Amino acid sequence: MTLLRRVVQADLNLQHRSSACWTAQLLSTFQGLCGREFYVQAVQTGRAIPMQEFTADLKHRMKGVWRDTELVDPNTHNNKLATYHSWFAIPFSKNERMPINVPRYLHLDLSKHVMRNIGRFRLRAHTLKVEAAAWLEDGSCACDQCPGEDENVQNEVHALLICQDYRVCELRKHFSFLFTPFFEDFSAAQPFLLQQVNNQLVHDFLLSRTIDFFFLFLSLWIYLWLAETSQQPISQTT
Amino acid sequence: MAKSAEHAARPFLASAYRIRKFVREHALADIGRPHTSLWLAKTYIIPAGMYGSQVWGTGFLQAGREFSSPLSTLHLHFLKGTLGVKQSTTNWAVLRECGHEPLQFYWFRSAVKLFNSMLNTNSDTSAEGSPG
Repeated sequence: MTLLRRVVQADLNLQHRSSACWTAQLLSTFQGLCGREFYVQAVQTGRAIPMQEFTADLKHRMKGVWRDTELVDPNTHNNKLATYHSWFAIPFSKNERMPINVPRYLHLDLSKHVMRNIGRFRLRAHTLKVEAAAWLEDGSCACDQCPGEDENVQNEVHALLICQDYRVCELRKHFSFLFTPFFEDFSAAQPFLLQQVNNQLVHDFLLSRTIDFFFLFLSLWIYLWLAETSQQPISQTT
Repeated sequence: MAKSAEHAARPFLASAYRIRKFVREHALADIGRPHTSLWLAKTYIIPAGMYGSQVWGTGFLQAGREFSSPLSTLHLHFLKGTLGVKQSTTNWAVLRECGHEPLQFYWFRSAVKLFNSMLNTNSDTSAEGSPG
């Protein structure tokens, strides 16, 4: 038996006496992994852990946070992770060994400010009411741009597709070719949707092939919207 | 910060500084292109943040402790700075947007690799100490 193997054995024997020893800590970290019992047994009996299976298992554990959000509807719950996962995130590859893909806007030659605004919009680090309600005095999420009396929550989808503010409607008219393939209700006469749309449809729309034009539209729109709300106090860390 | 993690923080911050400097010198920040910074971060920052993690990192490997290490805070600070979003932005969403895994992922793998290599070692030096 090599010296290192004896050290591992000694550390393994120590785990019953001290929870701070290396092996005891390692054994406690397998919680939440599908093959937990196998890994614990492997450590206790001094057998090697197969790395490929372990890495896939670890990635699966880390994706648990996203599996939990799949049950949450961003239209009804103010949950940032659920919003990001349902509407904006690039789907994970079925092959667990593949790296996570980054969104295409990060590869484009956009200006620093446009890039920043898109990032803020996608990650809910913006000043729309759904986010600003947390630190504004009135705490209302209702859209203050819509001319009607209906109290719609001013979230990302509302701002992109539903809000009836005339400036946003003008922008949608100008870029109508982005909307018409996805939304049958959308037309030049009515450049807004009257009801909430399916989350999957929103996700497909935001990942569509006409994404370059979409960024142009989005950057113009964000500029307009942020200019509108720039007088309001923004988070200290923004 | 725990003394052990502090040793990794220095090379980690030094790598982050070098990337920022490279991006500034090549005017990559002016035309956006944050993917360059993100790619460089995967290449330079993450290995630097793994310095000795096989030993000191086991305290941060439990599920739910992905962001409890000060080094994870530094990692996310870099990513949020690269995207230009505020520091209170959700950590998991920022990691996915940047195509990064939490540092815990790399620490955990390296700890298991260390365990495997200790079992499989055939080094003469280590064998010399063995009476059997």
